[in-house]
Amino acid sequence: MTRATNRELPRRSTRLILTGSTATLLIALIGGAVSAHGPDPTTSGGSFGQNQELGFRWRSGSEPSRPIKSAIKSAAADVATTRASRAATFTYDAGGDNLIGYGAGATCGVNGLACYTRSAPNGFSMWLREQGHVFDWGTLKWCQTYASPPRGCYDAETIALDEFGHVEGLDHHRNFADGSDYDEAVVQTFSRTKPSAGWNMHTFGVCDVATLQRQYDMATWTARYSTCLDLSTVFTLSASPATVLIGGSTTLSATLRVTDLDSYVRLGGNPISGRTVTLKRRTPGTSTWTTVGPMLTGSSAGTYVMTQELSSDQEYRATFNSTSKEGLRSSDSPVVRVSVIACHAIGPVNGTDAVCI
Amino acid sequence: MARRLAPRSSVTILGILVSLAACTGPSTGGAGTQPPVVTLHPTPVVTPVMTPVVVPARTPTSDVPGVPTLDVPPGASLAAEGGDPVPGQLGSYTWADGGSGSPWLPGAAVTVATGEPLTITFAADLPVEGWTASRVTAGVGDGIGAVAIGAGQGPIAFAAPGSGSWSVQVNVRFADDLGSATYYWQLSVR
Repeated sequence: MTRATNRELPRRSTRLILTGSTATLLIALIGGAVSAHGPDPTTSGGSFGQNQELGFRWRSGSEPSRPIKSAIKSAAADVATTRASRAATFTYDAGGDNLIGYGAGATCGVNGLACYTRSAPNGFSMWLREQGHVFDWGTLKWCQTYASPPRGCYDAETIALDEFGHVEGLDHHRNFADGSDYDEAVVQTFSRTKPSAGWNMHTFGVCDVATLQRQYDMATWTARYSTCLDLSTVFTLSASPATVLIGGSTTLSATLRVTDLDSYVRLGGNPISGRTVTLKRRTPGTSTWTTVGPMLTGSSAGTYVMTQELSSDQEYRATFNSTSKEGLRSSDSPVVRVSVIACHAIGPVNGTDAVCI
Repeated sequence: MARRLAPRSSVTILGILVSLAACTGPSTGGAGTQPPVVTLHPTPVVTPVMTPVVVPARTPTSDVPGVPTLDVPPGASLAAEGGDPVPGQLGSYTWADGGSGSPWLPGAAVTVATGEPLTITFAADLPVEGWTASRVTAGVGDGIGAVAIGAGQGPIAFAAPGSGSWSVQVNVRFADDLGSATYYWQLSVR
């Protein structure tokens, strides 16, 4: 996956300024720029349990207005439907342990629209500022409180989804400088208003999902990996038996996994099922591979099988070609050779291979 | 464990380099030509024109020796060479066991010269893992059309953008999983 950052350097008007600016640039380059457009960073404090259900209720005396309650519940539903992982879920529960408040009691700092606390795996809290709150920078307008939401209003469902993302352990996404990738995360360093792009995202972005997948794992082995990830994959391939009589058959078995790296957190070593894995063959001593066809799903996660009848020695390999629909890299298996022998009869050796007798 | 305030080193380096440049003068001009013309950098003008919003850092307590844990990120100040530091507006942050979300803020007002080296320092002595600085035209909401003006690790230093009025966002990720914070200044660049 190609990654790039946009960067504009200021013009310098004098040599002295040029020198100072160059020094600044050098410092930045020596230090190394902060990478952008990757999975959201994580906050400290660890994660909740996989698929942990977190019930929330309204804070007594600070209940949200009806439209804001609805928006928060919708955001909780958005988490469940778009987390694409085993991240925790949020459900309104009148007896829930986790409080969500609204209004003047919000502990969101001077400029905060909303805020949260988390204590994984025990619980969380959340606040949204009240409609009409006056900040230094303007007056808060929640879109949900209007029949026709005006320009400049904030979507409470989006803001609550952002806060739920933080509760899961997501830190703010690092955007490209021009913000062209703003829609790749809900958990942003700044919130947008109607009608700016991304003002009403009701699904986690791909880079939110990427971190949720890393921290909480995939929901299933067939599920797609976020395109904000760039995971290497690894194959094994075996043939059984590895030696056959002319016209005999062998079964090629491949296993496709995510490479087991610490940086992949929970995703390392995952079996990858439900993908298109292609078996290829060539005559030993040649370099051109011929496609045999797609391998069939095996009996266990991440496995693919195909049976072949052979009349001469063959080399095989399995190939996985990545697609733009997910964040996995292509890979090829090691080459496996299957030998063909001509004789009147065969006898088993170690229960798998065959020899002439 | 004592930690050195990261931005100081950049200020020092910039100061040395600027001083060296001032001593050597411009490279243009030679024997038989007009004497070299030294274009002096105008005296930095740092003029706070509004009351900066500073979120106070509360009681430091930590399990990590020498690293205070704050309820909110430390206040950040922007300074030009020789100018007084101007505290920025604190926007979105994650810190300790919580965080807050804000819009792109207008920022605390500062007047500087084009290309002037700017540095950021913090009210608490905390290590910086990485940072980015971006600007938009002042008054343009939602960070639309932002342009990078700096990025790096450790000390925060970048050059003032071209002339105009800019809302500058500096996003800081602190080391040791302390958290991240976004600060804003409104630069009037002459």
